Amino acid sequence: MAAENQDSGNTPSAAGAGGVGSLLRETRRQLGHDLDTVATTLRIRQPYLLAIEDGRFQDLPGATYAVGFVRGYAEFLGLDSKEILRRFKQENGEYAARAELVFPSAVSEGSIPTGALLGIAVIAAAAAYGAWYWYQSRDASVAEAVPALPDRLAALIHRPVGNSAEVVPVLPAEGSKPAETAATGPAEPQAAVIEAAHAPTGTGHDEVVPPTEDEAQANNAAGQQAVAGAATPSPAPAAAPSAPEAGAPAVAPPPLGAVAPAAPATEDVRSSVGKVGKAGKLKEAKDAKSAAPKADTVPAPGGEASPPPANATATAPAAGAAEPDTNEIQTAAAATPARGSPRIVLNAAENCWVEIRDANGHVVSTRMLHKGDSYAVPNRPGLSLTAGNAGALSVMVDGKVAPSLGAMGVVRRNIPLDSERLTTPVKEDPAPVKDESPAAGGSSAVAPAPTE
Amino acid sequence: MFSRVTGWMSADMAIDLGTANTLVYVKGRGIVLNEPSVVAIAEEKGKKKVLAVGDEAKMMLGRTPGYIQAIRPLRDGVIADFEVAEEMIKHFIRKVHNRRSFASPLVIVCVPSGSTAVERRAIQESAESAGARRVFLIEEPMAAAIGAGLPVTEPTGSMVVDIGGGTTEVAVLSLGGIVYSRSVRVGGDKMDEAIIAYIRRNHNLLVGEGSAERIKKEIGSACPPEDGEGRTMEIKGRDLMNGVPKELIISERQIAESLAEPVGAIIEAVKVALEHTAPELAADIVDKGIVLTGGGALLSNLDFVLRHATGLPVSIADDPLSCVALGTGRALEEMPKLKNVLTSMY
Repeated sequence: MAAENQDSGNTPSAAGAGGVGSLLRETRRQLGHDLDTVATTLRIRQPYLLAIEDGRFQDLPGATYAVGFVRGYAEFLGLDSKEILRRFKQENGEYAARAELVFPSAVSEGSIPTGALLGIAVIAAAAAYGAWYWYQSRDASVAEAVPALPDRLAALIHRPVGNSAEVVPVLPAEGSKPAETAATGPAEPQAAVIEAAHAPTGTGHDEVVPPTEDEAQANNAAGQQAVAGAATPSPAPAAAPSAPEAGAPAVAPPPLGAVAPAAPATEDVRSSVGKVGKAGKLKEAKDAKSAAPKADTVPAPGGEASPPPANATATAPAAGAAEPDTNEIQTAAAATPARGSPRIVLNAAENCWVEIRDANGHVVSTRMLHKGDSYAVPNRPGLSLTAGNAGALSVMVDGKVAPSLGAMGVVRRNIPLDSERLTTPVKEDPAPVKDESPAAGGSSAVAPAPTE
Repeated sequence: MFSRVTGWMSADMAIDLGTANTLVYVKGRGIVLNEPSVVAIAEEKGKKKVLAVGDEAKMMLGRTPGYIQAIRPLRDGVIADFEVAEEMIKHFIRKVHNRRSFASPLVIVCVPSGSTAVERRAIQESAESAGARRVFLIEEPMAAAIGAGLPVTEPTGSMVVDIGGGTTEVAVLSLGGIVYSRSVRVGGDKMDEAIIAYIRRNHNLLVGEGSAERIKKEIGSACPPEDGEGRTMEIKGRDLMNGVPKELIISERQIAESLAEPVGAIIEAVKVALEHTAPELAADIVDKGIVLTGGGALLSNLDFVLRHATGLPVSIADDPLSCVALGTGRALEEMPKLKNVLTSMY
C-alpha cells in the first residue's frame, strides 16, 4: 500500500492508504493547501507528511513522533485531532505499540557466567566429598586390627631371599656351590640354598669360635658371608676357602670396594670379641646387615670386575645367605624371633575374652576365644594381653607350656606378652637373655625352613 | 535474600512525586493514584496531625481556619517541607499498597534532573522513612521520555521537554542516557503566579491559586489569538481597592499576555539546550523534533510557539500528564533491563 502513489499531488483516491492518510490529503486539497506550506508551517519535513498521507507509518521516525505529526497536521487542517488520532491508532495498532528498550551493555568479559560457575563448583565439591565419603566408609569395614607389617618383615619381602632360592637352582651357580659345600663341611651338599645359608651360621658357631658368644660369631659369620658373597665375583674359589676357615683369614682377601665396609665391621667384631657387650653386638649386627645389602645392591662393580653373569647370580644367594644371619643376630639380640611361626600361642580351655594391645596401646586384636580355640600371638615386641578369664588360657611359649596366668575366672590386665616373662614369672635379669638367645637362634634357624 | 522473597508479596511502586500532582504506578496494575500533592495538617494541643491528603486537602487549600494548614510540601520539584512530604508519601503508599501483605515495597521515585544531591537525598530518605524497602531514583526527563515512548536507547538523539508544576526539564537523550539536560524552575505554578500578578496589576483583583489554575486550564494560551480577544471567562476574587468580592470577565488575549513571561522562560530553556546539543544529535532533532510532556504541554498553542521559536517540529505526547509516571512505572516493570537509568543516593 505504500508504493501505490509516490507522486505527491495527483492521486485522488488513495484508498490503499486507509482512512487517516487519505482523509488528511483530501482535506488539505479541499482547503487548497500545498504540501510545501504545510511543511513550512508545521516544520515537519515533506517526506514525513507524504508518508502520513500515503499511510507509510513505518517511514516515520517513531510512534511518538508519528502521533505528534498526525495530531499537528490534523489541527492545522482544522480537523478533530482526537478523532483522527483514534482512527490513526486503530489503523496502526501494532505500530503504535511501545518500542522495545534495549540498553547498550558492555560485552561480558567471561564466557561462563559466574553464577553458573559457582553452581558447577558447588556440585563438583559435593560430588568429590560424596566420593571420598563413600570410599572412606567402604574402607572402614576392613579390620583395623591387622598390624602393620614391621619393617624387618617388609624388608624380607623385598629382599631377594625368595628370588635367590628360586634362581639358584636354575642357574649353574658354580661359584656358590663350592662355597656352600666348603662352608657346611659335614652338611650334605644337595641341601637347599637357604639351608646352606643358615648352615654356615650354625657351623660358624660350632666350629670356629666356640668360646666367644654366639652373637659375635654369628656376626662374624655374617661378615664372612658378606665378604664371601661379595668376593665371589672376582675369584669364586677364593671365597670357598675363606668359608671353611671362617675366621680372620677369610676377611683378609676382600679385593673389591663393595666389600670394604663389611671388612671393617668384621674386624671390629673380632677385636671386640673378648669383651663383648650386648649393645656392641647389636651394633655389629647392624653393621653386618648394612654391609650385606651393600654387597647385594652393588653387584655392578663386582660384575664389572668379573663380567660373567653366573658370578653375579652367585653373589645374590651368597648375600641372601648372609642376611638371614644378620636377622638372626638381630633377633637374638632383641630376644624376639624375627619371623615365621609365632612363639607365643594362647590355648583356651574355656571360653575366654582376650584383647591384645601393642606398645602404643593400639588394639591389635580383641576376640572371644572359645573352648578349644587357639590364638597365635604375632611376633612383635611390647604386646600386652588382657584376659577375661585368666585360668582358661594356657600359654605356650615356643611349644612349651608356660606357667598359668591366674585362677579360673580371674580377669588379668596388661600381661606383657614377652616370652621370657611368661616362662619365668619372676623379674628377669640380664642372664636369661643370654640363655635365651641360643634358643632364639635355634628356633629362628628352624623357623625359616617352614616359611620358605 | 529475604527481602527478595518478601518482594514478591509486596506491591512495588513507582511514584511521580510532582509539585502539583503525585501519581503512583503499581507494578502490574498501572497508574492507580493521581492526586494533588497537598497535605492538610491540623494542630491539636500542639501536636500536628494529618487531616487530609490529596484531593480532599486540595479543596482546603486557601480555605483553612487557623488550626488547619493546607500545605504543598513540594516546591519547584523538590521537597520544601520534609516532614509533611514524608507523611504524604506514607499516606499514598498505604493507600495503594496491598494491606494483606506485610512486606514493604520497592519504590522508584523520580527527581528533577536539576535537583541537588541534598534534594535527592531528602526525597530518598522521605520515601524510605515512609516505609519503602528500597528506594531508587530516576531522573524526570528520562522517565518522561520513556513514558512518551521515545526511542531513548537507540543511537539517535531525542529531545524531550517536560513542563511540570514546579520545573521545566529540557533534555537530549541518546543511547539510554541523558546527553544534556537543563532544568528551569518555571512551570505550572509560575504560570499561576503570573496570572495572579497580571490580574492584580491590571484589574486590582486578587484571585487565589486555585482560581488562577482554573483560568490557566480553561483559557490559558501561550500566544494571543490571531484576531479578537479569544475565549473569555468569568473570574471571582477580592477587589484590592475597596476590599469587597468582585467578579469580572477576562479574555484569552489577556491571559496569553500574562503568560508571556513564563512561556518565554521555557522557550529560552529549550533554545539554550539546543545550543548545547552536539551537531549529530541536533541533526536528529531537526528531523524528529521536540516532544512535549507534562501538564504544561496542555497549554494551548505552546507547541505552536515553540515550533515558531525553534523552527523544529513539536509534538505533544499522548497523555502528557502521566508520561513521567508511566516512564517510571516502565522502569519498575523492566527493572533488570532499565537498571542503569536508576540511581540511589547511597
